[in-house]
Amino acid sequence: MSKKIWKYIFLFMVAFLFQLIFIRYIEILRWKPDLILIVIVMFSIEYGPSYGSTAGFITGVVGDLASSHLIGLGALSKSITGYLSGSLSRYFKERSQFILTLALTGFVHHFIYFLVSTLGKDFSWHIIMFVYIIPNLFYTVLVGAFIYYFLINWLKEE
Amino acid sequence: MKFTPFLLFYRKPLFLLTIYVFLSLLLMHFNDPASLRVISNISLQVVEVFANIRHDISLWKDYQEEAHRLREENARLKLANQRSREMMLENMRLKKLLNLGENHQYNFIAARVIGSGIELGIRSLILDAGESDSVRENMPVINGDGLVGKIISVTPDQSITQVLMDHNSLVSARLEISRESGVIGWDGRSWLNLQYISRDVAVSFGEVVVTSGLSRIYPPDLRIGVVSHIEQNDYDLFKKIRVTPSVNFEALEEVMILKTAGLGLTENLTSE
Repeated sequence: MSKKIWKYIFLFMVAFLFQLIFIRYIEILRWKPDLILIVIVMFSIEYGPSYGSTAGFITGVVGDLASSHLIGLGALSKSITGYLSGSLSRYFKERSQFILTLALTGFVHHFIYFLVSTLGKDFSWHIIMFVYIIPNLFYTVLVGAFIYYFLINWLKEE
Repeated sequence: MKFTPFLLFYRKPLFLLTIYVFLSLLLMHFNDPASLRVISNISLQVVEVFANIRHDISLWKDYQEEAHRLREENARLKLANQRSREMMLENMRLKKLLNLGENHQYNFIAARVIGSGIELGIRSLILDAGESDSVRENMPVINGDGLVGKIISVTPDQSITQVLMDHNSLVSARLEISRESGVIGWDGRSWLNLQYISRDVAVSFGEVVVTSGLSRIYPPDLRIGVVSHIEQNDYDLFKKIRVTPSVNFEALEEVMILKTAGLGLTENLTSE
């Protein structure tokens, strides 16, 4: 396996641990960045939709096992996100590729997650969209931009 | 490059994605964490290891600060005050928990919150008590302020708690004064909703809402919150009641797990 793949595996592990242990300290009104999603998008842009959907599925299952929601829900939303990130990113210019891909596929990820998790429940989509999806996505894109531009040179080294 | 949607669907990646979607739906259908127990055990063990490292580093930093404090008298007094406050607050929380134990005479398992789940919009809790500590699924979780939630998943040394502010959480509850029963649920806002209270029942602002004891999971009279808003229309059968939760879910550090699940609610009460 190439050195770059190991770097991404390390990033996934750090993102997973940070998301479970430390993310509550940077939460704002229950809004939090999805670090695992950020790494999935970075990985998918680099390696394409097959690898992206695989990474999304695996990290989704592992994340589901450490949470209280349906097992498989995270796997579903993240595998679709990985696929879309790998497929759509090549249509964006390199300069803004990561941000636009993260924003678009992040929206799809959050939408699928809330669509499935609130099925059959009395939830207002107005609240879901403006209280959860958009603020969480905005926070994720903000943190994602910072992480990406900070790490991109290190990740590109072989 | 011209956008050509057809190309998106013409490759092996789509076949892989189809498999993953199918597997995800299968997992959701069975929703059985026991079948993936090994992965769950490993991931939660790793979380606890790093949470303990974080905790030890925090303590080590405190000791360093205390050494600095001894060298400078002014800074020492301020830091000592801050440290005393933290311990006093922790003492108050633990005293509340002990007091609750004495009043209710339940068996408790003390646990520390070591992490939170990665769900969007809600925050489940990862606790450092598991099967080896006699924790079982569906055991209620409380703190000194009231009901936190219930245990939803257990590994040998950790467990995951579903909190009240979770769209999958439904708790049978009762108004403390009128004794009318309803169901506590959550719809994504910053309060809980008490449902199925008849329009004819008198409800007061500030009235305490407690568990009803009608379910097999939660013993009676565990504090849930207080009534903060009441709404009623002429054509509704039920009142719309908002309940402000007693527990501050943003700042949970220690909790107590009630040993009630699987044994019947009365079997685990100590005799007076």
